[in-house]
Amino acid sequence: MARNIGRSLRKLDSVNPIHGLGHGRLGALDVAAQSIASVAPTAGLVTAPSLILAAGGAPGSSMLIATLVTMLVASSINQFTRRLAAPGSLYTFVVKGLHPAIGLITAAALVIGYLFLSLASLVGASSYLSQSFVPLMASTRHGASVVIEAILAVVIAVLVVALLAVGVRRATVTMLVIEVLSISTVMAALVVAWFRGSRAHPQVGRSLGDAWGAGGGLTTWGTGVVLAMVAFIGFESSTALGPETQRRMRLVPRVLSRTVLGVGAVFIVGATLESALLLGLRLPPSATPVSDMMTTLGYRAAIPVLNLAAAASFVACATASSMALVRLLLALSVDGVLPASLSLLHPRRQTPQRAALAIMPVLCAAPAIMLALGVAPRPLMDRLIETSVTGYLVAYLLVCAAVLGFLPRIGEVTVRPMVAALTAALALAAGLVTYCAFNFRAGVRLPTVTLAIGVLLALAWWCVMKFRAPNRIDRLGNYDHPSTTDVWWGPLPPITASASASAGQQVVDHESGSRR
Amino acid sequence: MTQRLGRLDGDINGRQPKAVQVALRVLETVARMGPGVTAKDLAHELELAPATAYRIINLLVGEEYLVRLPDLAGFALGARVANLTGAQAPMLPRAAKAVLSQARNRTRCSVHLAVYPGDRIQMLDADPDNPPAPIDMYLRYPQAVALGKVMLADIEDWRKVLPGRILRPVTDATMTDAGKLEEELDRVRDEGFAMQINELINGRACLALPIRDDQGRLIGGLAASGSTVNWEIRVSELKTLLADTTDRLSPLMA
Repeated sequence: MARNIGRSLRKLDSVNPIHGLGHGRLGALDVAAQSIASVAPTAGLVTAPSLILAAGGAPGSSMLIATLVTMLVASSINQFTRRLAAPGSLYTFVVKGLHPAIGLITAAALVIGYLFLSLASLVGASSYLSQSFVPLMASTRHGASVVIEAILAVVIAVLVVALLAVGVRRATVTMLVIEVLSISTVMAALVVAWFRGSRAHPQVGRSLGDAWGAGGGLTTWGTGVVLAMVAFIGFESSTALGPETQRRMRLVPRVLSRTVLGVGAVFIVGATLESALLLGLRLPPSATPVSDMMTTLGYRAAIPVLNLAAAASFVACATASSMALVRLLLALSVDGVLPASLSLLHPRRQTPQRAALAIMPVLCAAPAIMLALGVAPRPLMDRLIETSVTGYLVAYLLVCAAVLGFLPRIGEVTVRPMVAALTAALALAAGLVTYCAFNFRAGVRLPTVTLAIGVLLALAWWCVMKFRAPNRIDRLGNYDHPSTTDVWWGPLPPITASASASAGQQVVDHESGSRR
Repeated sequence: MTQRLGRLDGDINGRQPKAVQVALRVLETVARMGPGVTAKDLAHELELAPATAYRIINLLVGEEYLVRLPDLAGFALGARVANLTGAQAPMLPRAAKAVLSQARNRTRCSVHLAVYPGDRIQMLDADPDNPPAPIDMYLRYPQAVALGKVMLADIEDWRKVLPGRILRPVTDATMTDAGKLEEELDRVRDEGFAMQINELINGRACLALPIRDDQGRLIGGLAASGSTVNWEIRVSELKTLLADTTDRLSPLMA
């Protein structure tokens, strides 16, 4: 046992590398808010079913299978969250489970995921917000509305960064309120529309089965499931708040699996209702299915409210994604991958203020410039989301694969988690290929190209570090590990690394009274 | 440690006695086998199915009764275990509190009373008007605080109780040389008081005296801290005040 003790205690330090990041200040609600807001269920609910229908899939059953696959992914990620808490979330997990180089690839994929989702949400928020005032702006010229959208994007970006800097607590509470309001609005609208719609158009009621029926071959079916999985993207983001959460090893895993379950239930019911309406009313696929639906049913007045709900959900999603991004940058900075200054915290609020300021120019400028250049918001948002999703899928795939390396490494292999992780990894690999192929068929190359650049940059950076600072690579993967004060040393003085060999000796010393 | 006992989630019908027994036995075994024991060792030692053992161990880690050590494979008892042993802060008799508040009224410095369970500093009665530096500073840098020097001077092999066995610098004035600290601790033993100027926080100084029982064993430390301005002038006066107070506290705490 002595060898064991020496190895375990060698790294037990009195200082925690993540020290200072508001330890244990968040509760279950804050963490749940982070995950739910990142998923942005309102946006997923509004867009996913019509996309699945357009691809030839069945939204109801696709959502069900996507929920099951995402549960497997969540349970694989939870193999890590039950054992360690790290602001670098999946990146740190992959470093611990597989290899530092693959960890850096995960980091690149996650940065793409978080950053592009934040950008997409900013574009989405500004465009939905301006659309909800369409009746007021009907008279304005196209040029004017573009300017308004661009200005709105900047204002929202500044608001998001301000929320990040003010402190996690306030940001998460705001996000939770927004999400709950907007999900209930959309769900209520769908339920009312379905009941009214099925009375006026009998085929709406009959289409309920078509929302579940399997149509087409394996590829169509697979595409439907992948498009449904896209709606779940971001559920893992509360992992990044682990170090700031109380009883994190218990809370974070629970939040992850319950978010997937809860959001999955909303998606299954919502997608069934929405696709029954779309099919029953024979609406063509469009970018704004819910608005079309409401127009056909004669509920024009509901559209601004629904657009406002979607805009609010996008603001929450932008906040949550950039919150996770900021913590990932902090982790990379603590690990020495990025400049050390990025890990500076606000002295009083204990928020990663420097990292938040670093992403601010990108968040403020990129969407506004694209919008001002006249790029239509909807395709812009779609491309950004597709890029983000590709990044996320890669990160999820790698973290599931990392479970297969991690559990043997720490000697805690059991059959069920290994099989779950393997299944999830295979499903994600198939999903990733399907998704890239789907995008390629549609002529969308940005996601794959961005991802390839990210992977190459990560590998190049790894080579640079290997060459210039090999000892820094060994120190990758810092996490919120316990320090000497987290361990109960009993009546003995703390056993420190080099003293541990004589642990038995110390008992004797202590009892015979080494005091003067 | 904040305690949130409150409601436990879900309905508990107490029909999982095995799980409770295993959980307690896991804690016992970690205590017996010492820090660094792995989940595999525990499963083997307790003759449990690995899946059961790992689930319960992770549960105990989640509740912070166990701590997963930085190599991610080894475990140790968590600081929360202290609650099981009743090792909470010992109560200070009311008479001793009165003595302390009298001392506080006689000086503009802040007066703190500490004890040393397990050769670590624990604040027993910190000055309410002028709180001391966070306790983890005291735990991490005992050589940089007067109360810590009092403790170190009383331990023959003081290097063993330094976290990481390293003298970490906090400010420019912190002692980082073991030889110099040894000399300083010798002086503390001879003169019966410890002092710290700018060593923990720039601009702050502190004087500490040991509190001993009638057999001369160290039972605590009393410190007065204040600004470094005119510190030299005030020291002799503070020394008298603290010596007088420790004499009166000793019979009340022993």
